[in-house]
Amino acid sequence: MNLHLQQLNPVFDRELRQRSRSMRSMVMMTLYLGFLVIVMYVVYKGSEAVQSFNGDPLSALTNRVGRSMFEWVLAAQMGVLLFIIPGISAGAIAGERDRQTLIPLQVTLMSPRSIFLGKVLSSSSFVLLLLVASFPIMAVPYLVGGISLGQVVLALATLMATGLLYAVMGVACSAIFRRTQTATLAAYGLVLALTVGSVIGVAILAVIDGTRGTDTVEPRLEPLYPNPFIAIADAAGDLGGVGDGPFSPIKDTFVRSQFGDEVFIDGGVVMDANTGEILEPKSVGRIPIWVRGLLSQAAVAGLLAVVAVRKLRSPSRELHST
Amino acid sequence: MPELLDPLAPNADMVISVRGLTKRYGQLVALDQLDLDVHRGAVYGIIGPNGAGKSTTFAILATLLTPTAGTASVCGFDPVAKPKEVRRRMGYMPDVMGVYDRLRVDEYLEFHAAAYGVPRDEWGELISGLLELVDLDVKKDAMVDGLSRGMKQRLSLARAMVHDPQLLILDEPASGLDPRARIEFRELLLALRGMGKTILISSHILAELQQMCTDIAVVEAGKLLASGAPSAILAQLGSGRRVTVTFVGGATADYPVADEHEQAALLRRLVGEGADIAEFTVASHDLEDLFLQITKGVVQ
Repeated sequence: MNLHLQQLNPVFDRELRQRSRSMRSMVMMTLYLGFLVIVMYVVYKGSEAVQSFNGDPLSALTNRVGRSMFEWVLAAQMGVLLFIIPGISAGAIAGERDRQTLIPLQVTLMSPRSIFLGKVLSSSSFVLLLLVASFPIMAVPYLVGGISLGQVVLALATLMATGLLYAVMGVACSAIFRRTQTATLAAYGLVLALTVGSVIGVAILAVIDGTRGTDTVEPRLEPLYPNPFIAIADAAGDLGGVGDGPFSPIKDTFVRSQFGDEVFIDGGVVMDANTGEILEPKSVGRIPIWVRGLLSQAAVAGLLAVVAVRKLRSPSRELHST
Repeated sequence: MPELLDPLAPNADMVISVRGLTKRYGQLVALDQLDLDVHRGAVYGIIGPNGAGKSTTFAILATLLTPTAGTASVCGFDPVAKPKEVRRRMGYMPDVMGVYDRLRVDEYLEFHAAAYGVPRDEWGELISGLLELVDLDVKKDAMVDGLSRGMKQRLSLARAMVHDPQLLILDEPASGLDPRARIEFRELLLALRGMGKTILISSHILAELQQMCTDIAVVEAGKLLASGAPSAILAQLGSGRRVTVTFVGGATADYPVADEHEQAALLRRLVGEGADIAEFTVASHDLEDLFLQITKGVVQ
């Protein structure tokens, strides 16, 4: 028996049809790719000038330029995705309410879970399309050098997983909040909480730790794990890797959490500031940080998804559809 | 195997049975101990002012809302305990029809057919038949958001029938339509009645309900005020007939009469009394009179 997408998930199929007829998707993709190209060009020109001035050998120069381009493009992709995803996902279900199309959908035989899944697939498929379209751009730093194919693949996979999880969060906000504007605000608020909020959380813990006086126990970094920039920084190389890209502050934070403030970091090489001894940052536990990051994001997304599916259930005590 | 509420009940032809249905939102009582019985093949009209509880009743029967108290059976199933069984057998048309942009008419119906689990190989014939029925076959390839309001309402009705339900619940289906579209919609509902569909309908246009309904219920402030066949309710109101006499000079007077004999006696009496009658008009009570007489304009 041939099963068509329309039968597997009618909502997903319908949204794909509608999206394919919209100019908005094409415009967004053009802007997205254009932005990445600009970022890469600026980083390339900037890195080239700085590294030439340092007088490094050519191989080291190209490695640093390639690495820098890779990290900056990754950070730019993550930043843009975190900006785009709430915008496209937070209206998924709230928009159906606004257009009065949710009730006819709720009285069909589709389960709330299928409706939710269709919306998530629809939102994340566009994100996936953006990422796939960026493959040629990501190939340029790889060809320049300084990064392995494994790091490129892992970084892109982490970006895709992050995109999917944030799409889940956005669609969940869309189901939980009645109006599209409220859902969009909530989705952006969630992104801010997981990015900026997690950094503030760690900073607060560090201040609390500092008030205890000198001790050997460093402030905990777990609140940083749901931050998608941490996961992508780890997936892009390890957090003690070379390069002075956008992930340097994250690397510094993780290195100092292990060795304290008496360290000197130069291009990813960690040295004891007093003795000059080269220090090897150890892996934080057996599970890589990017895995921990994705798992913690998945926990947030899963929790929201459960609440969202419950909200979509009918009959309910109140008409959430109006 | 889904459980039937009362499969061996004597009224096995009852499609909807509601007992003591109550819905409260905090202090607000939207429905107060409502009882309804809708027989198979009936066209049952619910009339009442805004806020009377019509849409709340429909939302409960359409498996969207849970009642605070009371029981309901739709096609033999409890809409709260067995919503999917009810949805298989019921088509619901809400008072506002939302449309998807960038979607064709046939794709709109295919989407709902898929959502109802209708086998794909049946879609072609099914959708052609439905579009023909609602007179939208020429608009098959048109975009849904480009249709007129009347066409959208007819498409919404086709959507509600995409899984061939035995019961149609139509909430204000003719609201906002121009006179021609209303007449077309009424003809369509009469055709559905001819096909044996049971229809539960609410409308503000009472004359239309009178023409098509086999039964009506008058509700106000969540309470059932009267129910039954329109002729029976009109008879309960009084004679069901009145005579308006216009005298020479322009003065008029209304006289209630029970039947034709009383009507003839009235005419003889007036002539005998030497009244100069310019016009002697017999008018029956209609649903609008009934509505005004029964309801008090109470809004929740």
